Amino acid sequence: MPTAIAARDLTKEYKGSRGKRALDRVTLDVGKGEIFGLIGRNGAGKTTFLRIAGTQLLPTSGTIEVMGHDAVAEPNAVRDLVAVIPQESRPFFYATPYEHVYYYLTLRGVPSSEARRRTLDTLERLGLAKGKDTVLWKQSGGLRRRVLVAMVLASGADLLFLDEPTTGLDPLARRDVWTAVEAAAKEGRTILLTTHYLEEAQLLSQRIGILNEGKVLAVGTLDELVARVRFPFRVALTGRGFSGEELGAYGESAAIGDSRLVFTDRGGAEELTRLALARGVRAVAGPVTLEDLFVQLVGGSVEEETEAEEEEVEA
Amino acid sequence: MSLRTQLRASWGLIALNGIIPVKRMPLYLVNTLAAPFSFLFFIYVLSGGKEIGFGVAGGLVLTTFSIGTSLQADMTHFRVDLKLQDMVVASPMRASTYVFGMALSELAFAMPGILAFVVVGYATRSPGVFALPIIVATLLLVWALGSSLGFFLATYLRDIRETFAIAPLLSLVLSVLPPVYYPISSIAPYEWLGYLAPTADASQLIQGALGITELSALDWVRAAGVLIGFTAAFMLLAMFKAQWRER
Repeated sequence: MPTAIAARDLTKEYKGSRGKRALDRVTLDVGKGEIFGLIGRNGAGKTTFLRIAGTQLLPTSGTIEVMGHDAVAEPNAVRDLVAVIPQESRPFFYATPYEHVYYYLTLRGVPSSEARRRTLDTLERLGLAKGKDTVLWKQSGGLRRRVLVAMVLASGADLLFLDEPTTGLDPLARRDVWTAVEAAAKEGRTILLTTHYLEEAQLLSQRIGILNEGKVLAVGTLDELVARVRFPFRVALTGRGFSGEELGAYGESAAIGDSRLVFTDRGGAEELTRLALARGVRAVAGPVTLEDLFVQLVGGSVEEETEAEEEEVEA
Repeated sequence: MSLRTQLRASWGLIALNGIIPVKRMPLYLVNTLAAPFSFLFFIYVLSGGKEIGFGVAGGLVLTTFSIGTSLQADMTHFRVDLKLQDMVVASPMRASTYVFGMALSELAFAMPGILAFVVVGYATRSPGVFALPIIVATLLLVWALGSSLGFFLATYLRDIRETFAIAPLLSLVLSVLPPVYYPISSIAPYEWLGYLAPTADASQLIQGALGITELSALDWVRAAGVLIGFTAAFMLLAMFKAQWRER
């Protein structure tokens, strides 16, 4: 597959970070036309990677090619082909959704009739058509976020960087965004997505990269990532009937209130499920989710923060 | 992007940061006009109307220069809070177009004040036919100077609150203390200090154009030279030292 992004030994050390690297020799390829999910804890280096690829930030060392152009030496060639929705970005409170999308396209140089057509089409796709002429100070926070997503999706850029695009959206609005992102990918556009919602990364991404403390921990499809862990199956047991010691023999187990989550291999999952049925304990078995994988590979939840975050914010 | 496309792109910023907010929140205009008109009012009252010409010249310079301080605040807000600059950097829009569009958008706030001062100036001084081109050229230079300085600073500030400290400081150093609102002869024998402030030179040119102060040929050349020199220096600073792409 031809590459949209090719990073080699990409390193970023912010000024004043006392040797702590936000990115540490990151080597990563994103294929053209794929949705690539980049996940990691806060401060793992996701936003730093996106900002370097988007030409907003210079790396300390290493190389990065974006759509065949050196992102450090030829930033303008890259900029003509990309669009970005930054993390924690906010729209103008005094403008309408229509004005946001239309004028964003105008400032990207899109002719006015084409900008009008794309604006209406994108607002429709994201469920924003009804309130398109209502100023944002009268609209919800979730809708404001969707307006930013609409701006970037309407851009027509070949490569889209979406940094936490659905943060703060309700489940239905998130689905609208997912549908629009998938539609953009079907049109042949490449999408680099970072998200805290692991089910979102799992659902949308063809391949996933896990960053931890500035380093690439794993890259691959969900199946490839599953193949890397010791316990590729999970069994959720609700109610009593098993001791912790007994479950420990199958793999790793964690107590969550009255329930227990057991990570095990295929044979263990089948046996445990049969036993649970025999003992009248409710059991749900299946392959591990991306969140389970994340916990196994990183050794913590995605919500936890790493030390690097302070430096990233400071910079 | 062709020049035509860059101009269209500037229009997007003029609409988003100038026309739409002025249309929806006209109270914003008061913020831009409050300081220059306050000075005009005080000069009028204290001089019994005799020195109103200095108030007009100073008001024109301060209103135009305040485009730069507003630009600095808006650009810092867009970069730090809204992250708009990140969206613009990663787009076909170039830094020069962004600054040009933003500086034009700030004119939407300043233009009513500039027009009002020009009308007052013409009503009270009856200047000659060449006054208007001189005033327009001078104000264009002040606009370019303030905008370049505002953009340069905005790319380095870490928080919008830093602009609350820097904007009044710039106004104090470049608009209030130097002879912008009063004749440069008032600070004799230290006139050279006044000449060092490009805004004072701009005010001198407008005072000369309006016939408030008699300027020698050397005065015209010196004031224009200093103003052009400072404007060019600040534009170069913005072009080569502003942090469009973070390091």
